[in-house]
Amino acid sequence: MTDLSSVRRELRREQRQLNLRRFLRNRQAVFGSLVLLIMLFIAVFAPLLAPADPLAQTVSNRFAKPGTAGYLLGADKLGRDLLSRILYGARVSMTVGLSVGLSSMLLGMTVGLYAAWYRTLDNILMRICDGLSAIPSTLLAIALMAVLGSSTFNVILALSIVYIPRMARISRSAALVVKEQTFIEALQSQGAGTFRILWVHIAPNILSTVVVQASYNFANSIITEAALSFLGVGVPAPQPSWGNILSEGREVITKAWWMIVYPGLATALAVMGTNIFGDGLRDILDPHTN
Amino acid sequence: MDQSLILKAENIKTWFPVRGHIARDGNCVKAVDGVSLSLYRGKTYGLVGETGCGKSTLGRTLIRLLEPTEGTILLDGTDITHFSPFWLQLYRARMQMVFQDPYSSLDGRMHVGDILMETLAIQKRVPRKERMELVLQILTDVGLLPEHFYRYPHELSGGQRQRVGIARALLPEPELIVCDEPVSALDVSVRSQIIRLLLEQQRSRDLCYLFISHDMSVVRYMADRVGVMYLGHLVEEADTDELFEHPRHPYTQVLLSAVPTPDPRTHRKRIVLEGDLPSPLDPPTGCPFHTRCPRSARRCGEQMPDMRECAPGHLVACHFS
Repeated sequence: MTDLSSVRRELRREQRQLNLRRFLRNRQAVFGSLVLLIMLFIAVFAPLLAPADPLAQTVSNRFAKPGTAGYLLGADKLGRDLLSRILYGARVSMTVGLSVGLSSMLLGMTVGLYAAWYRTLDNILMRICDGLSAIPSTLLAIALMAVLGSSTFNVILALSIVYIPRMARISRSAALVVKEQTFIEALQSQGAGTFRILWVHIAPNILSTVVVQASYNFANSIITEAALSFLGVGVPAPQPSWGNILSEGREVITKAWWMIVYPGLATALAVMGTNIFGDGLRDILDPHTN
Repeated sequence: MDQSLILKAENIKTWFPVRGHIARDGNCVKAVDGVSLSLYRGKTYGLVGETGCGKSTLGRTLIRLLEPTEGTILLDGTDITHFSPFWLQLYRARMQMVFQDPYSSLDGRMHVGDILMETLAIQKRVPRKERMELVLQILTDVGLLPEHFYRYPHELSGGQRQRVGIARALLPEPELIVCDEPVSALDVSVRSQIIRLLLEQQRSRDLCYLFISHDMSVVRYMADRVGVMYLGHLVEEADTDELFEHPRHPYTQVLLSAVPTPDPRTHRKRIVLEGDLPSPLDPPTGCPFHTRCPRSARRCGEQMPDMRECAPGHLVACHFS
């Protein structure tokens, strides 16, 4: 017994080292996760990092140019520090991205798994998904926001509803493949219940596909949140988000270029980072590419 | 004799409805079409027949992985034919299965040990603390080492994986194991080891096997009694030696004539069948074999022959034998 548990420890360590090496060899994954970690760090520690209160208005300094004392990236029309606003904006983006990524993953996977298992349920659930995915995603999100009213939580809710159908579809098709494998039949012959089969066996086997899709959802929801805020149906006004900073910048685009360039860069970087991370993750998790 | 009877199946029919054929809606694939057989403790029943004849479907139906369309299955006198999943749960441990493909029959994301531990967790009969002990015991029983506990299936050879599959079937302490071509995916060199393992376990545990195979020589070695299937029907059934020495049904004779002999000097007459296996969607009238039978007569196309005893214990469904 004792030597067996040491064998286990040994094997676990070896496995961890292998996984780590595989991760480090993949440049996309390393780069993407670095960008993502920096973004998360900024979001968590925004109050410590920001040089000023993002809501503090100093009207005399309106449209201060980047580099002016106290305004590293300039100021907006109310004299608020743009850098602080962008740093705080990361909070919105990361919260929305993470929440939408996770909730659409969990709910989409649940729908997908049960649809794959029960034939009758399959038809019902997949037709609903068809209906939802027929509407352009931004349009659907705008419509939902119009109904729900604008708040960060509602943005998360609306975007989750938008991304669940695609996730459900992807996990369903992956689950259908796993379902046909003999070990599922073996489990049935032993009397395993549906819950065990779905969540202990099928779910881990489709997880890699699902996680990759979740990372794309993460990136997409950052963009869509920015779009919603830009259109004025997203995060409500005084609270800074990259989208509504851009929206305010649109009015003064000829006078204050920094109002567009910096939040735009932040959004682009976050989305690109997550997408690249997703690509790297896909390469690592997909056994066929190795 | 009757005391050792484990499973009795009567007139089993497993039909699969065909979807998507608008013109022929309501048609069924008659994978198993009226088979009766009895399985006895400590004995091996060999089921032979060509691909697509319904052997595997019959095996899966008997242990209720599939629900038969018609017929009755008695497990130790209990009618389990239409048990709901809840009630079946209580009987699952008594009937287990060893699968053909040792690759896809194990969850690749779990350690071998965890796969086996889970079997015990599902059965809930053994207290948690004792499970590890039992699993290590069964690993050595099937010729693996305790070290294999923390291996992944993909780190094992085909033969070792099949040993894990057998261990998994043995753990619930079943009385009946359906072996669905357990050696046909393995190298010839490994085959005999697995067969020896199966025979050893049968002796020490008094197991009953339903041994499904298309390899006549393996069946002859393993089985006490053999059933020959053709297109969903059992066409001949007899004790192994009797069947191999005196095959009565023309189809059995064809099957046996196709078995290669190790001695190149013996020239056995080979009977070669014409045509393909008819579609089980639209089986021929009368005797299912009459379309390809060398002895076919008019009567064969009109009347389905009954199973009758042509010698003690030797059943055959043919008008002419």
